[in-house]
Amino acid sequence: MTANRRENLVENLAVAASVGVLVLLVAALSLVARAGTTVQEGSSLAVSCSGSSPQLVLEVDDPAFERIFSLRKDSDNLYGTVVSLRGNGASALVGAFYSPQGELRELHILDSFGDRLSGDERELASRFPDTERVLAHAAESIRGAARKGE
Amino acid sequence: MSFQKEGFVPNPVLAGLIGICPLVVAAKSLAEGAAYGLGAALCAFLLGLLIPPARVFLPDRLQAPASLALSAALALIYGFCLEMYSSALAARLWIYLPLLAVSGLSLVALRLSSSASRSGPDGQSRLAVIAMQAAWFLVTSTCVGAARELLGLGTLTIPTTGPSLSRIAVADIAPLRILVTPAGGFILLGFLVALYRVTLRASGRKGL
Repeated sequence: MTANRRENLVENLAVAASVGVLVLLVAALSLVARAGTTVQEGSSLAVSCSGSSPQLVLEVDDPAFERIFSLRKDSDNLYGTVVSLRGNGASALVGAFYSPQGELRELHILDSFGDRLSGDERELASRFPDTERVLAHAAESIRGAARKGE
Repeated sequence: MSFQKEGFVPNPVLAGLIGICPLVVAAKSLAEGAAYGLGAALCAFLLGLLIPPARVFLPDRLQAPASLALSAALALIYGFCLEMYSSALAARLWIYLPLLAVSGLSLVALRLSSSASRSGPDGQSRLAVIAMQAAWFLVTSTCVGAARELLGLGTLTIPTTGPSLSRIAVADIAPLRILVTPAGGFILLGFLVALYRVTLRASGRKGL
């Protein structure tokens, strides 16, 4: 190996190591952020439906919702998720609550932009085209999570 | 953009139309405008601060990719910090948070800090120019967001921490709803650009 090639190799390795350190830093921060968001989502779901002891039961790979929590409300088991809806210049964060059988029980608007929303499923479906697909996918995921938990 | 001898740094958005596309889509409210502007300003300033010393250690052929990697890391770090501060605000800004890595302001900061000298031909420190542009961007983004929300929806959203944002209702009706759409953002920005140029011309300065 010539001296020039050896020098290039050392330079490349040094830069790769620096970028690796940067990637580790970002990855560590992403874990901290995810943990914080999980706690924030769980507590906001519990507050919005007056439930208690939210526990993360499933993480889902859907652009509109990422986590499913189990909660206790009036001695009932509920499953809840925070759904992000967007379309027609508006956006909303909605708390969706289901029975363990995947039946939609309640919808609560946690945050919205552009429209004043009441939390009615038909109103959401008329404002956000993706509502039905997202709620159906959430129901399906919850049925799966409930079966696993039994 | 040229910088005049008396140290005047023109507004990068209103004079140079830098980073306007993501700005008009992302800055729809006071909270979103402030959060997006702060992200773009911080990323640009930190790039201006970190890249010149890094140039000493980096070989020429690796400077561009390493700078872009740093820009991407800064944008991601800001996105995670915002998510920890307010998940609702991070959800609203959505894809525009990671896109801060290649925002117009960051690219200008990369270009300015990739030069070997610490000051430009007019004698101004490059970091000072980047800092001024970042501050202008933050102010403009916040004002554009606030004006669009106030005139478009009659509300003002405060960037509070937690899962939902606080909102002050200023009017019961939505006076000019089109302003919260991207088209309305461009219309408002067009008026602001015209106003800025008239003001500059009146004061005898050149913005471009």
